[in-house]
Amino acid sequence: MLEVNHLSKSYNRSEVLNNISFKLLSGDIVGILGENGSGKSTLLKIISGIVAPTAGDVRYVGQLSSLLEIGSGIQPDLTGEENYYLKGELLGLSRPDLKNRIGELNQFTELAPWMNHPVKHYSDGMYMRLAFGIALTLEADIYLFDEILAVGDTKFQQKCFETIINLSQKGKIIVLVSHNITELERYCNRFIWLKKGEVREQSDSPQVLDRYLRDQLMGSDPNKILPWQHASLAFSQLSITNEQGEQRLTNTNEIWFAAEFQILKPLSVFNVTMHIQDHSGLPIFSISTSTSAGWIHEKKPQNVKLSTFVESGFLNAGTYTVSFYIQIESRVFQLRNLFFLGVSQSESDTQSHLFSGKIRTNFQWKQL
Amino acid sequence: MNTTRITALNYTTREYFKQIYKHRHIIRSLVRRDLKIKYSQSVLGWTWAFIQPLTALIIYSIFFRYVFDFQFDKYPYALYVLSGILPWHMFSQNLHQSSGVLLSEQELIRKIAFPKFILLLAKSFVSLIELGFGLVLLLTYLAIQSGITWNILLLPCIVLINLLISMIIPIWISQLSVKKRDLLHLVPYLVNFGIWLTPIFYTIENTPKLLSTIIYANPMTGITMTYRWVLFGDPFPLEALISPTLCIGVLLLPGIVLFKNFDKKIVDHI
Repeated sequence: MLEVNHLSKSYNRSEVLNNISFKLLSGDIVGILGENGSGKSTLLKIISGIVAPTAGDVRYVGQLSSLLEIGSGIQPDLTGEENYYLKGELLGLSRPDLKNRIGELNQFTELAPWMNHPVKHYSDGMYMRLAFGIALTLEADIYLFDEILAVGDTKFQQKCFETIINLSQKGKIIVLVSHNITELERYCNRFIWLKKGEVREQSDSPQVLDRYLRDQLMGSDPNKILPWQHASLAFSQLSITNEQGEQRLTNTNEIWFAAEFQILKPLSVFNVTMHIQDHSGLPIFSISTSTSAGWIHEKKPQNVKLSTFVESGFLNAGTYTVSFYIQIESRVFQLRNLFFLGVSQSESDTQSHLFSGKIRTNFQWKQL
Repeated sequence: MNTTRITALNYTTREYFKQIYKHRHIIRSLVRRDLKIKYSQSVLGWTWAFIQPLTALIIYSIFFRYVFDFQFDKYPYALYVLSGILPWHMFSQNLHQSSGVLLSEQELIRKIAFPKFILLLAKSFVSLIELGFGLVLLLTYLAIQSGITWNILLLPCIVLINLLISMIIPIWISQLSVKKRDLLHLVPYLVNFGIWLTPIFYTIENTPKLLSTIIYANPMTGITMTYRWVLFGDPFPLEALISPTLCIGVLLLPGIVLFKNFDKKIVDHI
């Protein structure tokens, strides 16, 4: 059990955390999200007892293990094994206890042949494996990890997450701070969104992530970017609706995009490309005028209305962003994350479990 | 299972010592780390712990005996010098190592929760172990030279007082230099002047009145003379012990209390 009650922290009268409260139970894997400077790291530091709060308190039962930064407390002059003992002892474990568990560490990190070499001769990847391995091997009841899952190769990351899930099944509490929304969504059963030092939202539902993303990408208001003005062109409007002209989008709707431009000066080349990305910024697909049939890229001053649509059932439910790249003569202007696109799961769609990934196709198998 | 509670309140003195006791394993691993880094990464290893006091002994003895023609005939001059250098070495080691320890160990302070007084304790243990090596050397010499008396049973007491005195300045400088580092710049001067204001190479009887008053005010004078009382049967230095007693009462204890109250704020300032 980990309980945070009305926690506040200020440095030199500027408030970093303000009245934070939450309660975690054993088995919880909690994702803490928030932009840089929202107080996530300070919160973890207070929970680990490193920084003292200005008001409020934290209570927990059992032992706490924290890996707040990769390589925290690792001494480059000592060997991998010596570092393991040092860190273990700093956390209060006895030497025989640590000796019993070193096999487990070696199995996890696959560093056995290197354990007697000074850590300064390790590669970055080995260094990280050691640090993470040490933090995970040391038995505790609560584990705190700050921004550490972004590093390492896929295989090792996979291993880390498997271990984390194992720990949670054993009733441990795991607190993750990460900017990788996909990972949080996959592994966490609880989410706490910090904004400007306050808990903006906390919930068991991953929908918090969508709202967080929307807030992140849009600064809450897409109209901040539009209308976009250039010497020879204005991009005045973009609307996204379903086939009935409604705002609500599900994965069984067609998704219609309508964009309006005013061309102010004669242009010899004018092209528009729309990019759809998933919430982690991974490109999904693009639609461009330059490959559209009948598009004339020479334009006189005029109003140009463009429209396109994505077939129903093509985009799976999820959170997407819309970016526009506008080519004027030989220059390309990038308007990133113009719009936030939330596609929800349609109730009439009964086959969604058959499709993984962001897009759904109707490619077929044929029996030969 | 034990419950941990983290609040904004300062530790009470009792709590603080409890916390130090609870985290005593940190002292052990820090000491082990320091010794390992210092000694196990050299070819001569632990021999260095002997070489250091030996070279100092040889250099200073030669200078005072043969260059300055210093007269001393109660017992071998080398013993006299050694019994002064060892306590002084503990004092200066602490001064050097512990005064900036809150800054030099900031990585640890930022990553692990523990009472920071432990950092000072760990450094003093390292200096204590080094003193131990020196004392083995000294006692061997003494045993061969003139034999050891029962007085030696008092040695642990004087070592402890020596340790306490050695911690006083670091306790103050370490906490005061977290925000502004000026005091840290004073450390080398303190060490360089201090060694001459302690009767390590000379005897206090041969010094002019004004100077001897200053020398008596130096707590390390009392410490050094007490070592010689214990080891060689020199007269008991009652006068010289006033300063160490006052220092422990007036500077050490309040220093620890202030350190304790500052403990939770240290990390905010480094």
